Amino acid sequence: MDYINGFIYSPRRALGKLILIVLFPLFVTCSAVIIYNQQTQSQSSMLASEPTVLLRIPIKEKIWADIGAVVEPTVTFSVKTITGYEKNEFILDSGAVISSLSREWAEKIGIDLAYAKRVTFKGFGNTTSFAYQSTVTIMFGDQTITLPMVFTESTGTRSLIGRKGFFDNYTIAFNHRDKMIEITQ
Amino acid sequence: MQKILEKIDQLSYPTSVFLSVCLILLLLLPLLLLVVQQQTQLRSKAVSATPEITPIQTTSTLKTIPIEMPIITRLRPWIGKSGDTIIIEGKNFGSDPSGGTLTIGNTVIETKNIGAWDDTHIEAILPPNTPQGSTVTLKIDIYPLIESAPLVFYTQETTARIHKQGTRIYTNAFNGTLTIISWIRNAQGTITEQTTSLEVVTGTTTTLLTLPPTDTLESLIIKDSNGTILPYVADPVEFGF
Repeated sequence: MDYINGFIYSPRRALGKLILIVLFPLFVTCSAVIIYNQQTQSQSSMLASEPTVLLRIPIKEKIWADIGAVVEPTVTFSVKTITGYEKNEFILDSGAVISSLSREWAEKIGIDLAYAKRVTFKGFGNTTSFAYQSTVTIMFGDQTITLPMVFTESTGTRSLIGRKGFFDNYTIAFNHRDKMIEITQ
Repeated sequence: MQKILEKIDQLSYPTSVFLSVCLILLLLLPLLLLVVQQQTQLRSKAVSATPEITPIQTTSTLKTIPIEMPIITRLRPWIGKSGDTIIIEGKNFGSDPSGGTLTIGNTVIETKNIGAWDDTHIEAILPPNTPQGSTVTLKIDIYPLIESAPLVFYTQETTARIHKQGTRIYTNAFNGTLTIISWIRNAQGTITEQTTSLEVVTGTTTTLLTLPPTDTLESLIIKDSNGTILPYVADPVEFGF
């Protein structure tokens, strides 16, 4: 021990204070930097992770007399009927609130329309007609999902995949570079 | 080195802690600034990504009263279950549900259960527990109450069914003596009420009525021998609902 101006010097105590003043702040700062880096990395890896593409369908084009070639957002999904799955072409229609099939499908699926909920919908020319609401099981890729569906009055009308149960659960992308419609989870 | 240690040792513990905290803050300051900068960027992106939503005025504040007396010309269809939509066709309904009172059976239909209301058509959802054979009544402003043909209600448990083939309406349900009351619209638009009695045996196809080719069925009530209105189901495809 050394005596300096009446102060008793202790090397161990001096070392402890050195650790408190220098090493402890360094340790705290390094820990904070490491934690921050880890969090940033996990966030960026979450953002960068590629969503699973469930189905890729080639984009079709339809040539209209007046307009020319227009992209047809059509997909072929299998509809569960009483005799098994039957393929049907649907238009991906983000403007439609709910998916629709023509009434002739109700019998194939085994739905008695008299017991389905009757709703109205505005058709071509703003005419009001009845549609019958139920649920239908469809298969695309290796996914089997149950979609709310309305059975519309006019037979022969095109089937639609609307927002409810589909657009609100899946991401639909039009990949024009590869000319593909991609449906991702 | 020993001199530095001696100097450090001369510092009191509170001073050492204070210096330690100061150093921590000094070292963490750049990191803190980086975090704040990143959060600000995220927030500004979120703000710029938020679409501008313009509220849509869904209800008119103007109350329109028809200048002529309202008339119900047709109820489409006359059959349904709770939760189904029916269309009331006619004229002079006005364009505002608050301008009138729509009642089905004993239930005043709330605005939320009225899908559409314009001068010639009203869409309404059938309420639960409505007595069989109830009518739709409409009271618009100063005009007298107007009434439709009766409605037939059924449930998911109803099994009796009527069928339509061409102009013939038949059934193979029911049993005993039935009273058939039909409302038929002719080509001129006049509705006539007809009442007939039939003897029906379950499982045997019985023709309830045959419509003239140009006429349409507006409502059909089937009563048993006690006068009770019997519920039945009609296929929308067969009847063109």
